Amino acid sequence: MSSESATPDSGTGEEAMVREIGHDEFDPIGTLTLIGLYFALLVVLWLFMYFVEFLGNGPTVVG
Amino acid sequence: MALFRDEYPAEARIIRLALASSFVALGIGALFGLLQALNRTGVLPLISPTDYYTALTAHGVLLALIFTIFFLVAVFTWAVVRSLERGLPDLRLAKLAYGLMVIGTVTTTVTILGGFVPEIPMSADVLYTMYAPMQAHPGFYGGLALFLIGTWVAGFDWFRPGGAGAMTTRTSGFRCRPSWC
Amino acid sequence: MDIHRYERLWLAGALVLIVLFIGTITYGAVVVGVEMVSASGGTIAPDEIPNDDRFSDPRPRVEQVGENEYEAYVIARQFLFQPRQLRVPEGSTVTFYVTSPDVLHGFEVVGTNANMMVIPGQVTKATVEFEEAGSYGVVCNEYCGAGHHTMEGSIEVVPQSEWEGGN
Repeated sequence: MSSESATPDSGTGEEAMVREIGHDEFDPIGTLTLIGLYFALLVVLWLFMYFVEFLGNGPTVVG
Repeated sequence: MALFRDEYPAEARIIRLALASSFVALGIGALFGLLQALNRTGVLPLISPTDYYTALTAHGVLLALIFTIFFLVAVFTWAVVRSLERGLPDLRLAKLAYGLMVIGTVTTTVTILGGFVPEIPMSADVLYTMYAPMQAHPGFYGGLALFLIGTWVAGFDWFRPGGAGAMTTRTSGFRCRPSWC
Repeated sequence: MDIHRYERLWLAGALVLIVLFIGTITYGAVVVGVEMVSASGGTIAPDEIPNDDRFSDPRPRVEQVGENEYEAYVIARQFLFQPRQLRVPEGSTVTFYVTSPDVLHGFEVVGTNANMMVIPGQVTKATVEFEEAGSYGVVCNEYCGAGHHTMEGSIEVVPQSEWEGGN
C-alpha cells in the first residue's frame, strides 16, 4: 500500500510537494527520538517523585 | 485586508472595553501583590499586619478571577466573531454581559477594600471562597455571582446562530436549518 | 492489518508505562502501607467538643493505648493547636484525632507526608509511624484568618532513653 505525503494547501494555489513512499518506508526517526526522550524523562521523573520526594519524606500516613 | 474593527465595529468596541477592564484589574491586583511582597520581606511594610490578608484577597481575586476572565471574554468574543465570520447574534446580550461583569467586579472589590477601613463593618479577608465557614460580607459573594452570570450571558451569545453576516439568520432558539449544522 | 513498527513500539511503551505507574502505587499501598486520610474519624459537633471525653477530659493530650501505640487528640483553633507540643517516644505509632471548633485548619508535620485538613464538624483520623527521634514542626496550612501564619506547634519524638511516659 502506498501513501502520499502531499501537504494540503490552504487555498493560495501553491503546488504541493508529492513524493510517494510505501507503508514501511515511512521512518520519522526524529519524532521517535523526541518521544523516546520524553518517555525516558517521564519514567525518571515519576520514579524520582514517588520514591525520593514522596516515600523519602519520612513519616507517611499509614492508616 | 479588512480590519476587524472596521468590519465589526460594535463587537470591537466591546472587546476593547473587556480588555481594558482586564488590564485595570491586572494593574490594581499587581500593585497589591507588590505591596504584599514588600510587606512580607520586611523591605517596605506599608500595610499594617492586620490588613495583610485584605491586601492578599484583593491581589488574588483581581488577578486570578477578574483579570483572567475579562481577558478570556474579550479573546473569545474576538475569536468566535472572527472564525465564524459573523457578528454577535445579539449585541444587547454582549453589553448586558459586560455590564453584569463590571457591576459584579465593583461590588466584590468594594467589599474587599472595605476591610482597610475599620469604621465600615464591611470586609472580605477570605482569600477565595473555599475557606468556609470563614465568611465575608454578602456583597463579596453576590458580586462574584453577578460576575459569573455575566460570563454565562456572554457565552450564550457566542453560541447562538445568527448575527451580521451569518450563514443562517435564525435568531431564535438553537434550531439550525442547513444540513451541515 | 499493517501496523507500523513505531506504532507497535509506542503501544508497547504506553502499556509498560501504565504497568509501571500502577506497580509503584501498588508497591506503596501493599509494601510500605501508604494510605490516604479517610473519613473514618467520624463527626463531632463543634459545641460538643467540651463534652467529648477524647478532647476535653481534662484536655487534648497524647495517650498510650498499646505497647508502642499512642493516640494523640488535638484541637486546632484560631490560631493555635491544643496541645501546642506533643511528645511521643521514637519508634511509636501515633493515631491523630484532630478537630476544630471554628474554621478550616490544616495539620501538617513539616517536611513529611503527614498532612491533613481539619474540618469543623469532623474528626480527622490518621495514623503515622515516628521511627526517628527529633523535633518535627507542625503548621496550619489552610488559611484560617488573621493569625494563620503564626499558627504552629511541634511534635517531639523523644529517644527511648529519655522517655519515661511523660506527657
